[in-house]
Amino acid sequence: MNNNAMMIKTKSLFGKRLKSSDYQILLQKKDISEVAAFLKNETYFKKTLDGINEKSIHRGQLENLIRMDVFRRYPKILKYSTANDGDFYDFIVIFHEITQILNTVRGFISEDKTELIAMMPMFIGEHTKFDMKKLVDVHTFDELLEVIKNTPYFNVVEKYKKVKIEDIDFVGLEYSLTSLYYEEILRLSRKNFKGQELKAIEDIILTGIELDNLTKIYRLKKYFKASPAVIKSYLIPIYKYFNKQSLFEIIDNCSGEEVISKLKSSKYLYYMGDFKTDRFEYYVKKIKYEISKHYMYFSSESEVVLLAYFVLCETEIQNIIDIIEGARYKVPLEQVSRLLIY
Amino acid sequence: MAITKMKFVATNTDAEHLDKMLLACVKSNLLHPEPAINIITEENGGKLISDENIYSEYITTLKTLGYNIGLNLKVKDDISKHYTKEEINEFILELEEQVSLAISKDSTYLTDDDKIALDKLNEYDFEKIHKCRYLSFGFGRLSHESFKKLTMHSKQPFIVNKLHENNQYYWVLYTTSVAFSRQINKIFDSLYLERISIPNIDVKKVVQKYSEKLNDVYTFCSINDELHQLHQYVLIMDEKHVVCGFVPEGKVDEFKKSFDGIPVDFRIKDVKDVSNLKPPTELKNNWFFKPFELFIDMYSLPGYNEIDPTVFVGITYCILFGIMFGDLGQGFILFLLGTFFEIKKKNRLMGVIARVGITSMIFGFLFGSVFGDEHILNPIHQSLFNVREKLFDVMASSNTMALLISAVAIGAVLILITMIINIFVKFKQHKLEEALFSQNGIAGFVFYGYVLCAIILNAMYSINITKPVYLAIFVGIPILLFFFKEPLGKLIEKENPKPHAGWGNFVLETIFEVLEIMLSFVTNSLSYLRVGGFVLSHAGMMLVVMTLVEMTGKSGPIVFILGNIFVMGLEGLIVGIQTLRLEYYEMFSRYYIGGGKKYKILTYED
Repeated sequence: MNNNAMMIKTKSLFGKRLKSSDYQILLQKKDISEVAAFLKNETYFKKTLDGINEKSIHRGQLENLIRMDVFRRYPKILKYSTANDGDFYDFIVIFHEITQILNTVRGFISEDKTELIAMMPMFIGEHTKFDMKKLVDVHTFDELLEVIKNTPYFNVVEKYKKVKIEDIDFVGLEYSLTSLYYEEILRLSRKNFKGQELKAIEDIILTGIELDNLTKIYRLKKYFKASPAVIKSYLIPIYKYFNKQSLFEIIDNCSGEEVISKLKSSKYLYYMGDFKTDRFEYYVKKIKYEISKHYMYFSSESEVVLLAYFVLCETEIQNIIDIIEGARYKVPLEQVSRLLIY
Repeated sequence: MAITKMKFVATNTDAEHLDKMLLACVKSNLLHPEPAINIITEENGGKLISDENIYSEYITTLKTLGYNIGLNLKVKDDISKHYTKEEINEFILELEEQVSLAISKDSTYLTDDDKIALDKLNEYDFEKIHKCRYLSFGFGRLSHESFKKLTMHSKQPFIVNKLHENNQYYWVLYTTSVAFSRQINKIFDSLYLERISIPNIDVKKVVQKYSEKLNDVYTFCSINDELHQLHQYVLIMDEKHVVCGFVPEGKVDEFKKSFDGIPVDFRIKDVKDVSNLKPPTELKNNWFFKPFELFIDMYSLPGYNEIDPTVFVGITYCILFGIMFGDLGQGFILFLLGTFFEIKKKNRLMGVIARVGITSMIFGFLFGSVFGDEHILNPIHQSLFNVREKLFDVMASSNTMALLISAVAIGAVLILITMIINIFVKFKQHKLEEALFSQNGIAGFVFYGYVLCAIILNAMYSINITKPVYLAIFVGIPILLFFFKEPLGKLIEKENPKPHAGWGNFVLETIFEVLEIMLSFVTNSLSYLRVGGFVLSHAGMMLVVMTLVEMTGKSGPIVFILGNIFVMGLEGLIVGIQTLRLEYYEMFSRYYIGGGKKYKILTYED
């Protein structure tokens, strides 16, 4: 169902995003203080960053605040939604819940929960299906299952329950939770939308999943020299512009470099035009960005526009983090600028 | 009504008494100093002082130290003693040491909220905190997000005290045992605590102990720094330190008295004996014309040997403004407001407004206009001037041409007067070429005067004086004089009259110059039409106001007041600017050059 007020609000927020001129200025900043000062005084992060001391703010704190700012835009937009629109956006919370569960399992080997606590996004807190704070006291699978009982994650995590830490199939757990995440998104979208709106939303979601699959194939082939059987076991069974047969053909017959040629000659070319690069992961992110930008500009469905906005915001956050880290570690600005997508 | 006569004065003393001599020069409030560089020549062998100004650096250091401890340094009226360089250095070192203990190491980054939190922390006494042997402390800002996470570390051995907050941060002090300090510090680092170092001593104690002496030393350094700025006026000749300048002729004795008790020598000279220097100009006018010096300052002061045009400007400005503004009631308001603010604020522009208010009242009476009412004075005009309605009805269409012609006539008279002034000034300055042959000299006066007389005699009395012989004498000869002004001027100076660029170029250029002169006579004369124009526009605007008053019925009085205020403001501004334009462009361009140097007495800001 189209909601003009929500769409207008989303587009007006999109209009305030960082532009290429802002990125050019940010790239010239020499340290985190200068980056923070610019974001605070010259961009729409002004309100969130008001009150920070830009001369002494920690890099991690700055990144945290940027993420928090993005997250807090959704209630502002959803204020204009009707009663039925709201629960689709649970997927944002699901993403963070899964991340925290995985972080907790990683933390089993260490008594020190400092890092887990530091990475916990408190701004999500009241929206989660379980009490995230209780994860701090979790040291075993049983304790974890106790915290996440009555949630969809319980059954998935229970399958990977092991007593000895060294026996935990972490990769498999991550794969299962990620599949659950995608299933939830598709379920929520099919529940809440239909017709052209559903088609557009699925386009964004399914292309995202497919591109993640291709990224997995590329990395496993190039860096781990994994066998086709192993690669196939890690794929999410979602197919959009590559059907199962063609995807398996890539896995069986192509090298890491050949994967990018296959991608470039696929239907994704429609979104990329003359854009050229040999950096696979950058190319994938660029495709996701261009697809979302296409829907942002041309869709007249408010939910599609909002979902596209979510993806574009994630890209913006990543750009800012790349710039912050480039400033922190004095990375040459040409290298940082090659990472940015806008 | 004149330019103050000056005397050139040179005071000299030995190096030991230089500062006293400079102070005396400043305190006399009479000396317009000449930079030493203007006095030094190869012949007199003068030298400039080239010592380093150490006090400027001391002042910067003292200000920084004062700022760091929150003390606003002030220059006292008097100092308790004279400080040597060593004493000042020693004091600064001692103070720097105390300040480094008192302020946080990252004080350059502290915000106002940080300072509030530090004040609250000081309630626990900084020194006592640092004296603790078994407890370890940490202090800084923690974001709200991170603060919420502290509950997840509840099993760790530390306590947290919230001292201050804003919408973004909490300022916290955490305490733990020295044995656990490393582990607890790591926890707070992971939560992005922005640490602020705790000062060793209370800054207020430092302020209390040192503020008196700090201000004293600062005052001493400030005085010496300012005296050092005056060294630009000091030259050294024959081991004597000399300061030169100009003093009003009548105040030389008063100036000398300022140096009582100081061993100085004086040399007084007439201005003409120092022809290499440009004497300053101080205008001397009575209370009525003094505000008009504002316009002279704006344009340019007259040179020392020029005339002071203030009185002429004052008279012509008042008359022209009065004609164009012409309203008895509004003129009275201007007079009242101008006088009030001139007295209260000593503002020259308000003084001008007060004076033009008077002439506006006079012409307003003659035009029979009082706050836009064109009829209220009719009975008075009828009895005083024996007229049917009023002396001069501005809005009558039959009077329009007369008004405009009168405006041009006033302009023509003013042009002739400015020419006479120019001739007088040029003769005084021995610039015979300009006095005799220029368009503003005798040649121009004869030409313009003849043309005016011909027009007036023909129009009013039908007398024709444009016979060929008269034209040849009063038009032809002046034009020739304009044409050959430059060669004739050279002849008078007993120089070769041949132009630099040759006769061909000279003739070609001068033809166009003469044409331009002819045109300028016409345009300058017609420029005064605006005087008549603004009389009409003022009356027209008031007519609109009065019409609106009638139309608005009960709101009439409010419309009347607001309308008058609006017209006074708008017309006052426009007429003021237009009159100034006439003064500068039509009049000054004929007789005034300016370029004088303002008489400025020596002060510390120099």
